[in-house]
Amino acid sequence: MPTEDMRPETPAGPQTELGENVDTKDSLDAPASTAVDDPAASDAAPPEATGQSEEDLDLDDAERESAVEELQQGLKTERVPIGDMLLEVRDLKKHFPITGGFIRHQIGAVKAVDGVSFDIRKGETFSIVGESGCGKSTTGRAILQLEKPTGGEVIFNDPKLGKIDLVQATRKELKAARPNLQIIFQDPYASLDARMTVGRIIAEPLVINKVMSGRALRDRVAQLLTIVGMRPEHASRYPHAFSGGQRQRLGIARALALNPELIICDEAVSALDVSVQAQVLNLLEKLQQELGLTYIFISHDLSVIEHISDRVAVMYVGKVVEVAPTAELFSRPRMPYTEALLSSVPAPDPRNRVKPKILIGDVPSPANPPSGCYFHTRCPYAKDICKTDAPPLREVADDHYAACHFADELELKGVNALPPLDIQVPTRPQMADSTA
Amino acid sequence: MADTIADTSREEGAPAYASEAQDAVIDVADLYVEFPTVLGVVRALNGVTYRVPRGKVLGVVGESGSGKSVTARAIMQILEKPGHITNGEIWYRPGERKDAVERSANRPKHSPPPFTSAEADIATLDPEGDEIRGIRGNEIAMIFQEPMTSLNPLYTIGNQIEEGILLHQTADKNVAHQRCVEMLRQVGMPNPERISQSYPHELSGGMRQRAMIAMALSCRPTMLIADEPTTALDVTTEAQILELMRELQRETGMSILFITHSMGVVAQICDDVVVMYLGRIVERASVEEIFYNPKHPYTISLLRSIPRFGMSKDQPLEVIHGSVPDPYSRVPGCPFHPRCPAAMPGICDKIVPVEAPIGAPGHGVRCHLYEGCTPTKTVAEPSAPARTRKERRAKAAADAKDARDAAARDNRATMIDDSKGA
Repeated sequence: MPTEDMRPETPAGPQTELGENVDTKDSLDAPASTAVDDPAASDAAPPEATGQSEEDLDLDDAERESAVEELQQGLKTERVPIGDMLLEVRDLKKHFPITGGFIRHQIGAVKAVDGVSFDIRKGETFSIVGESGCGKSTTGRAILQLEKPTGGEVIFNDPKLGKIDLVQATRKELKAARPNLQIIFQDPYASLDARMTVGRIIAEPLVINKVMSGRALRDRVAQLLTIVGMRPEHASRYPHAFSGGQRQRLGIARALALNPELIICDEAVSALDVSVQAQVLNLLEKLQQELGLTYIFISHDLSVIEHISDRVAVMYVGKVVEVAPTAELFSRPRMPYTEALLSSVPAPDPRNRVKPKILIGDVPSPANPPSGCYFHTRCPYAKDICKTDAPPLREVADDHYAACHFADELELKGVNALPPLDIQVPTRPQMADSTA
Repeated sequence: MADTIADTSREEGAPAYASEAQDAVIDVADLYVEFPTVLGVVRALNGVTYRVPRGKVLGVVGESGSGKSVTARAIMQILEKPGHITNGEIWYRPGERKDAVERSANRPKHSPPPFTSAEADIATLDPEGDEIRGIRGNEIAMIFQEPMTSLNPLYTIGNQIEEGILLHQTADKNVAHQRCVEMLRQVGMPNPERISQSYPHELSGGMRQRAMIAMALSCRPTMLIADEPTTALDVTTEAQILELMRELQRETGMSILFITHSMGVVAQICDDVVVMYLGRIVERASVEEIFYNPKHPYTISLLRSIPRFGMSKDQPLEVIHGSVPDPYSRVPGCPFHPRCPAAMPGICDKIVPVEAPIGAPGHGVRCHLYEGCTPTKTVAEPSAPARTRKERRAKAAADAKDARDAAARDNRATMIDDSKGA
């Protein structure tokens, strides 16, 4: 399938025709497309009959790899090279007004994101972690301009447009840049339209951006489904026919449709069952290697963050309080809040029952944050200076930034690496001893 | 606590194992729960047997749809309609005689009759009867996952905690209020007097969950059921709540049935663990055994699929293929076989494994890989106890009706007396 012609604006046919094409899927079996062999032919048994319907939905690796190769071919042009600066966030602010009084004038603001800065390089996984209400999701949405930021800059290095500030960009510029910026949402049940077929859901970004239509579009949808480990013929089904993990994969396929540079994963695995979480995490990692994707991974689950990220930013009440490479942050945090956060993670090891560093009280309200360092109200190491002066985010070690007056003096504790699990999943035994 | 001298005068039909289970607070035996729906029957529990030991924390782990919450709701008799118990027994305080403990002499007028805190088969009780009401909230208390949805937004925290105390413990409002404030202090609330006056929306998630715990513990229950109490909370708050529960458990010596999907939480708080999959218990053991010597392929895969600190980054997580089958389908044989890497065709997809002891005492597993788990002859779906159970239930219903009639008569009598007096 010629993927090179994905970007150029193929004059798309009328959308109704497209919708039909994808919707009425009886045409799909006819074009045994280049990318995907038809696996249904080999698989005679209807999935539901055996009660293992879910198992049959997964593809084997060979089929998937051919689709990936195909896609990689199409990616050779106009990409930001790995390691280049992709996104520079400078002093990003999002304040939500609080109105009240006689004429509903603004009486205050919830400073959900209040001066956040970081850089993201192409090909890395940058994670944002923090408690609920710390502004991590708002940061992600403000980067994509889903929430119009109150201030600051989001400079995106678009492969075609060059560096543009998304905050100041015109609608036209934004529309041109957006295919490169995609998002995967938390709840796979709410983020897929129940009245659209899977094919239409995945095709929608391509249709809206008038990238392709007709046969090419169908093939592309089939290819995307294959890449996320699903079958092309699932395009004719509706989302309700799929489990949470599969829906999340559909969400990933939709995000991949326009060959984005950057994907924001907003709690993308939080709503999934433990056993399914691993599938999606592995898929995300694999796709990153294969397609050179960059992720902003937003999560509150520190073990997932530790597993997937290259660098981590810790947020607290709308501010970034620490940024560091993952291993460094987890082994030697420089900000007391990070320490408390790390010690709170329940380790899956009964011999490792450590008493967590209990934080007293609750997260302050972003509408009325405390003076000085926002964390001083709960910080066990707080001194007088913390109550008056807000510490800036400064480099305390190589590529390690922390916002704490005592970042150099405090000896904070990281997490202990758990002993590796040396129990293997049993494999199928030789059928010799017992028969039924 | 009541004496636990062996009670030989057990009525006929009571399970034999109950007599050995005197250290247990709850003894669930072969429990089946079904939800007949328009789309088909959801078999939520398919023969679950476990007991909650006295003064210990039993963890129930499983993914969504494994039936872990349903077990808890069955114990409380608060299964959502049309769910109902189709088979099995839930013995509360097995082996304790009826006359063991008499409670609350000065009980308020409209509360349930003093329930003699002793042996009862909860499965046979009328979900709206007096006997279960004497247990529910009083002897067995429950904490739910969503502290926001399980507190009434129209009543103050104090009102809601006092309600239970007034119903079960005392008729004196002042005593109840003092008790409520004391409970709030015990769960680590700053300024408990003020908190008792505030409404749920004024509290943060962690504070609400503390209020829920205070409410659950206000009647000093023998057993606490915690249904995913920390799932909706942040890690730092989760750590606070877990620490609090550990402390309270040590102080009061109550038993906790802790339901969660997080292996981390299980490792941190539980003494014994039961792993559930599709309405069946697949493995049970002490927490140490579950984490260091797991046997069932599901348990092992589950442990290997969660990211661990310090794990090599290049190493992908172990994946359990597929996902939990939808609740209407029925998986023949071992429920895990469609996803099991060790599934043996011809055995696992045909025969339901039985539980067999393995290794350390108390460690049991249901998997054909291990000796003793494959029944010699195919066991049909159980139907035997249904008849006796039906009879028991009919008898219980008749008893309850008699009691209600008597109460109604008494009520009328007092009303007549009152009117005469006036």
